Amino acid sequence: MTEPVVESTAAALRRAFDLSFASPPSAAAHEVDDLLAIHVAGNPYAIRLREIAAMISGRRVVPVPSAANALLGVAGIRGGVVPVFSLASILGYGPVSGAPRWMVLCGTEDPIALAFSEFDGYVRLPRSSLHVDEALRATREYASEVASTDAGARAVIDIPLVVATIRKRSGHHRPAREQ
Amino acid sequence: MVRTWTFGKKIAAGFAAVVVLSMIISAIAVYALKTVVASKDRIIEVNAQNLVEAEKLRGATERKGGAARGYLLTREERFVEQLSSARADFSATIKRVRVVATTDEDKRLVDQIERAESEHQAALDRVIALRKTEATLDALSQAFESEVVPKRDALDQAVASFATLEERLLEEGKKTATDTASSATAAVGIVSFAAVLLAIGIALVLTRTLSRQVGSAVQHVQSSSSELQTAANQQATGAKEQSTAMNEITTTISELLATSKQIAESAQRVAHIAEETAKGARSGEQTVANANESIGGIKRQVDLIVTHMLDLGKKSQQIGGILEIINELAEQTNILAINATIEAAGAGEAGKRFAVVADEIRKLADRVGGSTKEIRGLIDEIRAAVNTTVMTTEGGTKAVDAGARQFSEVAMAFKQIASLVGTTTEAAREIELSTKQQTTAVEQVNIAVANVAQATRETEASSNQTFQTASQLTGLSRDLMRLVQSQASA
Repeated sequence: MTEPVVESTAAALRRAFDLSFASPPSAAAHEVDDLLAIHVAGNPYAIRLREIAAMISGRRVVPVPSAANALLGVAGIRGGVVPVFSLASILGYGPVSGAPRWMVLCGTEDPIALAFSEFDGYVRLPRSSLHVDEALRATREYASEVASTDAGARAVIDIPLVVATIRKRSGHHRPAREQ
Repeated sequence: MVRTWTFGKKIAAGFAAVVVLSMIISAIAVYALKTVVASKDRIIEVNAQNLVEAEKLRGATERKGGAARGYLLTREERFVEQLSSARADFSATIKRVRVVATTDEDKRLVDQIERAESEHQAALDRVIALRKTEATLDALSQAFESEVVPKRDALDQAVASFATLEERLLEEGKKTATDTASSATAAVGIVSFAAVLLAIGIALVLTRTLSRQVGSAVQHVQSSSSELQTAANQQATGAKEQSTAMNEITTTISELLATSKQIAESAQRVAHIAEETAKGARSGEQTVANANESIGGIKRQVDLIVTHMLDLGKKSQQIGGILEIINELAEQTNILAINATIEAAGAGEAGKRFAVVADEIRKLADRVGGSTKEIRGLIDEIRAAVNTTVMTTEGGTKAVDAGARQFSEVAMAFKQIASLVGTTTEAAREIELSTKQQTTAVEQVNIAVANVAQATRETEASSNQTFQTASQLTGLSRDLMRLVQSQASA
């Protein structure tokens, strides 16, 4: 009984793969928004794909002494040493046990990495599925929009705000870098 | 000791005493008679014979004198021969007298007679010799008168003395014999009187003793007869009760006999059933052995299944590992696709087509990830199923082991059952045999009890007979007692 299911699944995959080449291009980029569905400290969140530079997994984080609680350490990413911050700490959930497996790279020239523990998947939603939630804005510092997905509503993390806050706290400014 | 003598002994002793007395009396009488006879014989044979011999001596003397006178007158020789014959008679007589002469007086007188005769003969011989000389008659007469006559007188005197002595001895012998006879008569009379008195005493003692003892014995017999009568009565009653009990025993034994036969039949049936059971137990033992062998095969198969399941678990773990790799690849592909999408978005209009490809790659990676999730789920299910199967199989193995052990125990139990059934069969046969022997014994006992019952009835009859005999014995003893008491009083 399992074998026909596997065969049908393989056929569906094959059809979907073939269909991707046969179908015309999807809707325009301004009509949809690409999101990464994640979980931070057990809570569902979403990150706009266009707000990050890359997504990385399984990198070793070397702890460094720091006054900032959210700084987990540094990691070697794309030939450079990038500080890694705990997204859970930044979002106010406190320290999380265990090293986060996933991280997103933010910024290109002076990048920082935000680490989190669970990656749920890639989600492409129409812009209409995202809306500002005032109640959420009042309770969450770094999220003001909510994305309605098939799996439920997710708060969309404002990555630039987070990055700015980190940079602000650490006093890490471009001019210094430039110097 | 005398008290313990029997009546026969006592009577025999009394008769023996009387006989002894009679023998004593007879001996005394015989002795007296013999004494008297000896005295008389002595008188007759000695004294009277000597008196006769004295007369013969006188005659011989006379014949000698006559023969001498005749010769002297006639001078004939025949008178000399007569003289010699007379002298020979005289000598013979003297010899006989000397033989029987016992007393000194007799012997002296005999010597005197013999001397006187010799002298007389010498005188005669001289006178005869004178005659032969042709002497005159006067001379002869004178010589005769002077020589022969005195010698003849002396001889006659001697013979007369001898005769007188013998007469006196005869008289004395007569008197002695008479005295001896009188003494014997007196002794016999005294002893006879004493014997009579002793016989009377013995008779009285025997009568009193026997009467007393017979009376006591008769009283004992009477008492014993009464006791015997009572005992016979009790024995008759007991025999009657025993007869009743024997009848009951006979009935019980008959029931026991029937029960024994039933037991024998039941034992036979038990033996038959036990044999059937033994056959069944042996068949069951074989079946259990076959089942045990089958269980051993099952156990081996189950062990094989467990081994295969464990291999399957290992393979599924390997598949899981490979799936992890695939998932990792899919994840990395997804990340690359996402990064490619980001890079394509950063490339502006030129990166749109690349963005499409990257999106397809991402979708493909998503599908691969979904498929790996499904495969992981399936593998997890397989592993869970394998684990469950292994656990179940191990449980089955344990169950099979337990079953094998139980089958071994069952086989052992069947063997024990077969052995016990064999023992039961043997016991049932022994019971059957013993019960048959018991039945035979009970039949013999029944016969014996019937004989005992018959003997009891005979005992009852005998007891009645004994009772009657005891009654008669009581009457007889009463009569005998009356007789003994009347004799004692008499």
